[in-house]
Amino acid sequence: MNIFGTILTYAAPSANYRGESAENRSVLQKITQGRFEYPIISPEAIRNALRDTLRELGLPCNRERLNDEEQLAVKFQDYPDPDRFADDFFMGWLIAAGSKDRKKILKELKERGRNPEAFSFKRDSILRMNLAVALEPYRYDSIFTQSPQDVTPNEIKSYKNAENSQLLHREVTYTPFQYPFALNLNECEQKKDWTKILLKAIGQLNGVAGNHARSYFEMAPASIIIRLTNLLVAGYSTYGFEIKDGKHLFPEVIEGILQNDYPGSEFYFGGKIVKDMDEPQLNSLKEKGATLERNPQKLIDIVAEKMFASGE
Amino acid sequence: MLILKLQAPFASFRTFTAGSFRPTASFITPSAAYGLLLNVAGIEMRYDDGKSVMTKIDTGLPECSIALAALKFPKAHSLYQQIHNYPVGNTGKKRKDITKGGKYNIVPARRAFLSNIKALIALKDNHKLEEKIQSGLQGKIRRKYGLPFLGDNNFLIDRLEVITEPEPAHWYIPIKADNEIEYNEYITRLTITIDRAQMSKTRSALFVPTKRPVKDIPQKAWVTVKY
Repeated sequence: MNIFGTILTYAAPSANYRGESAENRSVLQKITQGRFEYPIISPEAIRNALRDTLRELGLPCNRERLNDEEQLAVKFQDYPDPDRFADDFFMGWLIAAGSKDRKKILKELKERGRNPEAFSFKRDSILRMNLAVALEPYRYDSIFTQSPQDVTPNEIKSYKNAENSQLLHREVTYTPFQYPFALNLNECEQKKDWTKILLKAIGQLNGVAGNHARSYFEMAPASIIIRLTNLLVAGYSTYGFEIKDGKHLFPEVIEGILQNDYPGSEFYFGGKIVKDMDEPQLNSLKEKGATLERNPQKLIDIVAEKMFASGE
Repeated sequence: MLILKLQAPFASFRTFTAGSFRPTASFITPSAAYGLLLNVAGIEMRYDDGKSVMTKIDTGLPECSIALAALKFPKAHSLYQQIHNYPVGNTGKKRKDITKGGKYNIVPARRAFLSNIKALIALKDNHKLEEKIQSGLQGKIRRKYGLPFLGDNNFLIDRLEVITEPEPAHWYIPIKADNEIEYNEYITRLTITIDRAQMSKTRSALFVPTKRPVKDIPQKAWVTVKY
């Protein structure tokens, strides 16, 4: 059994850059679709925030961010251990070690009481995510701000910020983002409780979209669609959310269920997309076996209970 | 013969590379298509010899012929990111211990990727493999290896389905000296089989897609994938 889901966030100003800037202009990362450029947020940024959220929800995590180093830095508690650390279990790892280093690491593990036979130098990520893509194209919005001159005397602190006032220029966008995720549930069998918490974390995701001190942007779902299926691929466009007249829509799947292209019983809809449906559409989808829930977090709980229920 | 229709929002097919720019081939390569098909069929092609830094490829893998076509040519993009790496020299060395074998340095890099993949993957000359792929697609094979992806485990596939009638598409033909081919701007080098341990043993060829979409698979589009 596999889970395929797409999340659509609420709209808010965001500023996802950090990768590159042009002189004093902080640029948003974008891709071109058709005639327009759309802001994007990388899955790596989403996964990093998910590790923090898993930790917040009480799961043991191996990797943590060090926030007070000269450059971006991370620290691991131990060599990867999917039985002990939830982030290792879901997100995998790579230790690029040659035969000499491998021997050294295996010896170290043995000395620490771990079974070298059970250790693997590589593991693929069980959790699959994809780029978050804005629904609205970038419209050249940017914000100018000015940092003040730092005139603190040296006897108070030797380090000063830039001595002159600086003009800062950053691109921003006001848009919702959508992003898909997927899990092979056969691989999650050994850690059912962790998997349920992972889904919960996706339902409460925050701290992803960059420049958090200035832009509070939630990546938690305003709307969510999930498919529980034996198929290896979603079978529909995982970037299928649309917004029309303020309503959240997923026409390919909704129309597909109503036309019997898809089995309705495999689909779960939650959040604003459900609130935006009229009564006849709600009833038709229910008749086809789809599960609908106005609260996206509640829907995730329903899926979490259902996903291992078949005993697969 | 089996023809699969593939649709995905994003993909990357990395060429062998190091440095701050991570390129992608401009279309799915025969080697990547073969890896995808084996993944679906539940056949593990990776082999850890317990010594090498890189993931090696197993021996005795099924042989087949593959032909590839673009229903639409994908677009190339790039993304700037701070990525973790193993640096050359002493850079970031003081952090080596705290990452427990993981990548201990962070550098800005530009990663290329493709969008809007709409492709046909045709397979022939191995009936057994075709059957396994069909079963795998229906979720009937207990697979060891997670969900299929396109070059990067973040790049999910939207659709992968068997079709009985090929749609008109641009079939990629390997260029040979005696080929009469209409050259076009999509000419590109694609890898056919790879060897991560010894790059000189990687097989690749220049491919040119047919200028106009054609329905029947051109005989010259077939390449043999044999490890």
